[in-house]
Amino acid sequence: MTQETKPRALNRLKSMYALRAEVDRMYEGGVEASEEGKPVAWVMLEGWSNAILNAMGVKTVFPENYSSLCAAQGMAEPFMERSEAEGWPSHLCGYARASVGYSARMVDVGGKIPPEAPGGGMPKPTLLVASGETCDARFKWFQSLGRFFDAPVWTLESPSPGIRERLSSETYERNVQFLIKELKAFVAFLENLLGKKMDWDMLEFTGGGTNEINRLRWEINELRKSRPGPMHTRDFWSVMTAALFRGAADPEVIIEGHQKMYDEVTERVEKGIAGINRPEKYRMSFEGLPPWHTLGFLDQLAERGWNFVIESAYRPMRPRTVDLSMYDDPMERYVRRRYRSLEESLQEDYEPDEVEAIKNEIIRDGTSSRLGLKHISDYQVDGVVLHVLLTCRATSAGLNLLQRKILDVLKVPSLVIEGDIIDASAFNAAEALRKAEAFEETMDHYRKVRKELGMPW
Amino acid sequence: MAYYMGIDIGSSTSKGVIACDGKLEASHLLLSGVNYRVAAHKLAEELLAKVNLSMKDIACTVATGQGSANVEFCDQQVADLRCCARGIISIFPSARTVIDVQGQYTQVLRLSEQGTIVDFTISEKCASGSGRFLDIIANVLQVKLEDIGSLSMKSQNPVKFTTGCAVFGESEAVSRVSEGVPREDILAGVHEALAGKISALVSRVGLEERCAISGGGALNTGLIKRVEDKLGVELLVPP
Repeated sequence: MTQETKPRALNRLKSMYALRAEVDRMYEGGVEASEEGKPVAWVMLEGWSNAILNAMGVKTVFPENYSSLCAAQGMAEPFMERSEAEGWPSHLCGYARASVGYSARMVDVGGKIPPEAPGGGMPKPTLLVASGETCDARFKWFQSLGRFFDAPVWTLESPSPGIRERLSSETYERNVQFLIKELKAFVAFLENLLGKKMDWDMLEFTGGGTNEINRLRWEINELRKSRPGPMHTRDFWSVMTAALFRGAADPEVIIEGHQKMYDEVTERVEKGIAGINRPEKYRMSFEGLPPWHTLGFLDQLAERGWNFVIESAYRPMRPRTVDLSMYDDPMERYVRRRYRSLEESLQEDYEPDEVEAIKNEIIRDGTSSRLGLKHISDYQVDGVVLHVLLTCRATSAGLNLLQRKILDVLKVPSLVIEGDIIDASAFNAAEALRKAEAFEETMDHYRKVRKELGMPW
Repeated sequence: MAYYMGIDIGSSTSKGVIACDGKLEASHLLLSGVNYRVAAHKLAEELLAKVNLSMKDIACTVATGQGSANVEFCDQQVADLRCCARGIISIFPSARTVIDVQGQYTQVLRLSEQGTIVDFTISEKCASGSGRFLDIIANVLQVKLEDIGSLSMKSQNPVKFTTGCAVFGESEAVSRVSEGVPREDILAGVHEALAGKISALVSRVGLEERCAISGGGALNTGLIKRVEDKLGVELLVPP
C-alpha cells in the first residue's frame, strides 16, 4: 500500500543547495587555514575589507553570519546565556551576544573551537575587522571580542552621510577620497601585521568577482517579479551568505553557482513554477532581518499560500559599467567600481519625473518614502511582514512610518511581527500565526480597494 | 433545526455558546486553568448539560482563542480576531473600531461595513497592555476583579504609576499600599495607565466611529469611562 504524502510547502531551488554548501566550506576553510598557521580574520559585514583581506591571503569568517548559523541550528542560546554571564545586557543585538558568548567559550577551552560549536566553528582570529556602519553596537562589539583573544582590531571607517547630503556631488567625491585613504591605511596596517605586500592584481580579481556576483543576483531578483513568484525568500536568505561574503570562497565558484541559480529560476518562470508547492494566494514581502531561529515559520505561512517573493534585506544593487580607464591607482579603481552616488542610483532606478520628485522630497523632508516603496509595487505584493526586532533599533526604527506609507500610497497592508534575529525567546510563532490568519482578511480587503482604484494589482 | 457550538479558550477564562437558527440557546464560562484541553471538555460538557443535548446533536463546533488548538472535538479553528469582528458587527452594525481587552492582550480592530478586518494592532508582548495588569493589581489590593472598576471611579487623587511594566507595577502598588495610599487611588492609577496604552493602540490604527469594546475589559465600568475620556467618544458596550 502506498501512502500519499503532502509535498513540502516550500519548493526549494536545487541550485540553492550547492551555494549553501559554499557557506559551510567558508567556515571549514577558516579552520583549515588556522590549523596550517595561516592568518584568519573575523570580519564584520561592511562591503570593503573582505576582498582586500582575501587578496592578502587572509581567510575570513563572519561572526554576525556565524551567529545566524548557530540560531538556525538551535545552538545560539547557550552562547547568549554565556554573554549574559559575562555581563552583557539581554537587550543587546543578538549577533553581538551570541559571538561574545562564543568567544568566552573559546577562552574556556584554551583558545580552541568549543566542542558544541555548530558548522565546524570559527577558529581563533589573527585579527578582527570592525566597522562603524549600520549601528552603534558595532563600534564597541568587536573591540570587546578582540580582548578575549588579545588580537588586533581594525575599525574600518566608511562615510555614512545623511540622505540629503548624499545628493551633493561634492559629498560624493569627498567620500571617494576618504574611502581611498582609509582603505590604503588598512592595507598598510595589514602589510605591517602580516609582513607581506599587498597583491594588487589579486584585488582586481576579487573586487571584480564581487561585481559579477552582484549582477547575477540582481538578474535573479528581476526574474522574481514573475507570477507566480519562482523563488522564495528562504532560498534568497540561504544563499545570501555565499553572495555577500563572497570573497571568502573562490569568487568563480560563487559566480558559477549563481549562474546555475539564474538558469533554474528562468526555467521556473518559463514553466510557471512557484517557489511554494501551494497555489500562490498572497504575494508577500519580508521587511527587516530574518528570524534565523525560526525560519520554519515561513514554511507554515507557505502552507497557507503565502509566497514571499521579495525581501528588504541583503538586496543586490542594480549592476552598472564604470569607465575606470582614467584611473591607474588600483585602490581608486576598487572604490570607484563599487561606490555610487545617490544621484546615480536614482537615475538608474526611477523614471526622470520620479527622480525629480524624490530629490525634491529629500531636500524638503530629509528623506523620501518612495525609496522604501519601490519593491512593493515592482513585485506587486499583497502584504508586507514587518519584522520588528526588540534588540535592533537600526532596522526596526521607522518601520511604523513605512507601514503607514505603504498603506497610504500603495494600499498594501502590513503585518507587524515582533521578534529577534537570534533570540528565539523573543518570538512567539503561534501568536504570529494567529495574527496571520486575521491578516488574510485585511489583504483581501485591500486587494478590492486597489482594484476599485484601478491599480495594476 | 441545527445546533452550533462556539468555544473560546482564552488565557484567563473559557467561554462557550450553543446557538440554533441564530438564537442563543445556552452560554457558559469557566476559568481556563492550566490545562486548556481539560477546560475545553469540561466547558462543552457543562454547556451541553444546560440544554440537555449531547455532542451528537451539534452540527458544527468552532473553536477560537489562545487555546483553540486544544479543542480536539472542534470542526474548525478560527482566529479570535475574526470571531471578535464577526461578533461585534452582528451586535453593532455601525461599529467600525473595536477595542478587545483580553487577559493576555489588548487588540484594536478596524472593520469595514461588512465586518471584515481592515486593519488591526495588538499590544506588545507585555502584560501592562492587557487585562492581566488589572488582575495582578486587584490581587495585590485583595479586591474582587468585578469590583475594581467601580471602586476606581471613587478616587479623588489617582496614583501615577512610574512604570509601564506589570511586574514592576505590582511592586509599585505594594509600595503605595504600605504608604497608606487608598485602594481606589491605586486602582484609578492602574486604569489610567491601561487606558493610556489602549488609546495609543487606537491611534495606531486610527479611530473611526462608532467604536465598540469587547472582552473582559467590557465588563469594567472604570476602564470604559477612562477610555471614553481619552478617546472623546462613547463606546458601544455589548449587553
